[in-house]
Amino acid sequence: MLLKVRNLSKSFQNGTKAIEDLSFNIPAGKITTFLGFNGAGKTTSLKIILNLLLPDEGKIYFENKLLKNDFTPLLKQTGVVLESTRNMFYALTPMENFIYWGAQRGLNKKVARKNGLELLEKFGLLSKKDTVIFELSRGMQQIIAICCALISRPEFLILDEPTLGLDIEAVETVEQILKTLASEGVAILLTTHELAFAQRIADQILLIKKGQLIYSGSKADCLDKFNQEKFITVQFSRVLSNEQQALLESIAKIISINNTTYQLILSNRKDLSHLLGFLTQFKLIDLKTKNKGLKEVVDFYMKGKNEDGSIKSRVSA
Amino acid sequence: MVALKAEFQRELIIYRRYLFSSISDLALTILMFMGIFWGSNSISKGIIGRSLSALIIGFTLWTTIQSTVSMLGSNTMNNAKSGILQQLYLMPISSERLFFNRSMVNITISFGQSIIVCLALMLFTGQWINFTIMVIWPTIFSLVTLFGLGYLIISLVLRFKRIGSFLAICQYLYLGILLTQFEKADLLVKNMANFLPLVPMVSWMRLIISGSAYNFKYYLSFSVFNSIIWLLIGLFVFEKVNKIVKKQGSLSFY
Repeated sequence: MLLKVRNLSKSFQNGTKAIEDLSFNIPAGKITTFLGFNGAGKTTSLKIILNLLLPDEGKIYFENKLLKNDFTPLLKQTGVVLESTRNMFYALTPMENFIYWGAQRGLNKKVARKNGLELLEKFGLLSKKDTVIFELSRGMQQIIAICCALISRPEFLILDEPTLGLDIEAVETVEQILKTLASEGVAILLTTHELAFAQRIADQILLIKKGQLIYSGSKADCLDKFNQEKFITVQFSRVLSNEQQALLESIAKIISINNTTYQLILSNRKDLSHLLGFLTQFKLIDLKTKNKGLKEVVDFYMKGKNEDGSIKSRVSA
Repeated sequence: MVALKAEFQRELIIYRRYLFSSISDLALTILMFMGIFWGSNSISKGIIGRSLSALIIGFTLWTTIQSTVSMLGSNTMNNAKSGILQQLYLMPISSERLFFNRSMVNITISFGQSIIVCLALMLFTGQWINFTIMVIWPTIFSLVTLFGLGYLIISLVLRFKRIGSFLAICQYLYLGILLTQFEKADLLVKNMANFLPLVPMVSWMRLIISGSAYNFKYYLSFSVFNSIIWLLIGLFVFEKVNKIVKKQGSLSFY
């Protein structure tokens, strides 16, 4: 594991418990997404990891070394893009920024220039190398900020809301950049409110609610757990008889949507072929399957909502 | 060293990119002095002329301090406001080193500006000051004190964020301190004043330039003491404030 966080807690002077007993791991070469509502403790956790904020309790290990007062080993290997702030000098050009931020990380001008040019070429902004940041679009500014964070080729990249305020095209570019970096072995930890983006990009998810971690694990496992039940919406060409309905009910739980349309819920995916075999005797107008995504996962854990939108009586992991 | 060089380059790029503003600042400083000079001359009918060298030295030093300390303060405020400060704290170099680099750049650039201002003042007033090599000593100690004052101002910015009005008050306090000729005061006042930042160095400088007799050991010891004590105070306060800010998580607040 590249980063291990153990039992992190932080309260503020006004008595607010920002985070409580948080423990998680960040592996190399994976994109870990921190999900949670505003004020859940995502940014606080990031700031503690980055030594911008001192925790009340807890330990942080980077490359299996416990970080106490000196966070230099982590900072040397970590590029960061923070939310809603200028992560670079807007009066300078991308290349001037690369030289400046590279130097703060110990790179000489030549190496910073070389790395900067490579990054700009990789992310399709080579033509903007000498344009003052102020003159670039919001999406381009965000990509340059990511380039600045990557100037010393760090092993770890932290991004706080990297898609905030970006248009669809820019979000797609950022997504591609992050996927490329992860495939090159960079560990990425990001926070986001955009669940569709998280769904596409995350390998691992951390769900945080009121300062407490309520889920930590791979996205695939999480979605697999949520998709044990299969949801199929079927529109028949005619109304089913009571007998046919009873037969259907013996295979799947059915919810009538209208006279000819039903939602079928299979509690076990093994029954799928059985169901499809049964459906072949009918003329079907339409058939749709629906997998639960991160939105449903977040609804379940955070809001305690069921598939049909009703409120769960109890939220359990 | 690479970080310091990059800090220099960044500052020079900004100067070049906003050349009109940089030249206007210099012109304004020179005009301000000329305003004081002509105004005082017309009221006091040349009395000020007798201590013109002292006035030029005092004013030049004031511009150095003003542009170093105030610039450091306002730059840090702007960086806190924009969020750059947080990004700077995420660099693997220590915050002490980071602000040392920034102070170094500010002091050097301000010093360069002050030389231009001083030359311009001598040219306009016709009062050519005879600088001797001895001036280098009080200058070096002044620079050390300036580092200490720089850390103090940065600490205030980190702790209280908006200190624009306080910076303005500081400018006038420096002006008062630098234009008062404590070397001519009673022994008690003179000794007490030596604890104020920069006072022994400025007095020493004035005495050297005017060619007056002075006690070398007295000014050397007070200058060493003054520079070390203000540097230590600056670093101590900076360390404390850094801890408070990290505990409260208020680095990004503005």
